[in-house]
Amino acid sequence: MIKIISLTLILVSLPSYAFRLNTNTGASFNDKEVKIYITSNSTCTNAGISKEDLLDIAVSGAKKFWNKVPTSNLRLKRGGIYNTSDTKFLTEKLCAKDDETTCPTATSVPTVNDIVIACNNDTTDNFPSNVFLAISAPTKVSGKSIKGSVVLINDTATSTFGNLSRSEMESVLAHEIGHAVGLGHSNKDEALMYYENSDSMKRLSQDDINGITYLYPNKMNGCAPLAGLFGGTMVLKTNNKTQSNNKFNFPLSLLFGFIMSLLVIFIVRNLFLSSHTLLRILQAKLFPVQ
Amino acid sequence: MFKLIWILLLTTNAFAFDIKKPITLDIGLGTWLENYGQTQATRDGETNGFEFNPYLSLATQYNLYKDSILIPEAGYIFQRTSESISRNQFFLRADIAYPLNKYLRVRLGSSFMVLMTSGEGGEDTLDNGDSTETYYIPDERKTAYNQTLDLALEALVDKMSYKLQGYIYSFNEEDDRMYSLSLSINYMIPFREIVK
Repeated sequence: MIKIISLTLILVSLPSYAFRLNTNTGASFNDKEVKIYITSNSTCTNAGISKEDLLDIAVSGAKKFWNKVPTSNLRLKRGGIYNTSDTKFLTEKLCAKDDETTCPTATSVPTVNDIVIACNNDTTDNFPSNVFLAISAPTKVSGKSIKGSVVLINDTATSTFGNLSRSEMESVLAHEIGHAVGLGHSNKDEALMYYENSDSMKRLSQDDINGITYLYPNKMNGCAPLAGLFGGTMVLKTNNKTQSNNKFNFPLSLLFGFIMSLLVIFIVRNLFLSSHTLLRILQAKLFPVQ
Repeated sequence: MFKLIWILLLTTNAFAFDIKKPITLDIGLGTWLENYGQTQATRDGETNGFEFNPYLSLATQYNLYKDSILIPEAGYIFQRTSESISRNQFFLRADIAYPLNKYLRVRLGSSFMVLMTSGEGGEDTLDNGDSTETYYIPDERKTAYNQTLDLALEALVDKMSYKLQGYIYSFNEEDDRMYSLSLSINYMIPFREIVK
């Protein structure tokens, strides 16, 4: 047994987690249902893709990777076209909120709500080489809350974005959306949030799952066992939207509640048993049989 | 008067006489296979396989109805901690077990999973294409709660049991349904040996 415990303790100390955050406050979107838009003025000519296709792939990538984590309540959804005629989305520098001193608002990509994608051709700051396929950052942050983020696709003359397969585009966009919702890079090379793209990236790594669970932990609207115990009444009273974002399963809650109810009954009955035994002992002492 | 109250108390307790005492106290040790086969394990696209993530559990068994048994259980999954981030995961769960024969039984139940992630705070510099970038280490504890639907097959040999259990997350939502597995060995101590 001692050997087993020793082995356990050794294995427990093995390294495993490495996710990092994009903001020093650990900011995340307050509303767990975040929409993805694309600017109406994006043409994405050099990126070699239409803006409609780009949005389709971004939404598909978000669902394929980030929406598949049951321990996280983040839900990424299609927003549609973000109507704007502001050409700064297409030509100016992307500035993170904590970089405002070097990024005056007048000459940088505007801040937005939710997540907005644009095709950008700035070669000075955003895409100095075609190594960069896309960049992203929360642009509107207040304390621990991200209000909006921008994802820019490399639309410079040397862009290789259009050479990627659809699957690679999904993983590239999902990586950028990972930054947009608050995650930084990971030093785990199997992670989606590793800095380098891989054409074999098919699913999230455990490190990505840990990161998104940290930023958007599933809450189940309070105490699920109690909700189940009382026939799910607490669930029925909750707000529909919150309920759908948090993975609270009503039938499962009832099942769990049923089993927990049985458990409570057993505990109560055993308390009776204990008290009865105690009473009998006391009785024997107080009123000995003559 | 005192005797009358005494008799009344005893009579009240007598109604709880068909109490089901616990049959056994079970101590379990096993490995927790989180999201088995569903996460990216290598850059080449391989998925995660078998690994030893130890967990400990404590359970009791109660006769329920005919041959079925109620098994409440509490467990702690030892988590790997590194690079300023740590996780703690424990669960409260209950199963109803039904024997298939003398040596095998199936179990259906549900778990209430609690997953706590915390970090030490600070900064970290990581690769970012052809340069490096500063990122941030989590500096607070956050907790995720999940309910799972659990299915298990358990082999019984004397005082030992060998259990393979599946924990289905989001069982009624196809989009984000995932499952974890556990393999465990349980030592069942008859309750009458504990309370003599």
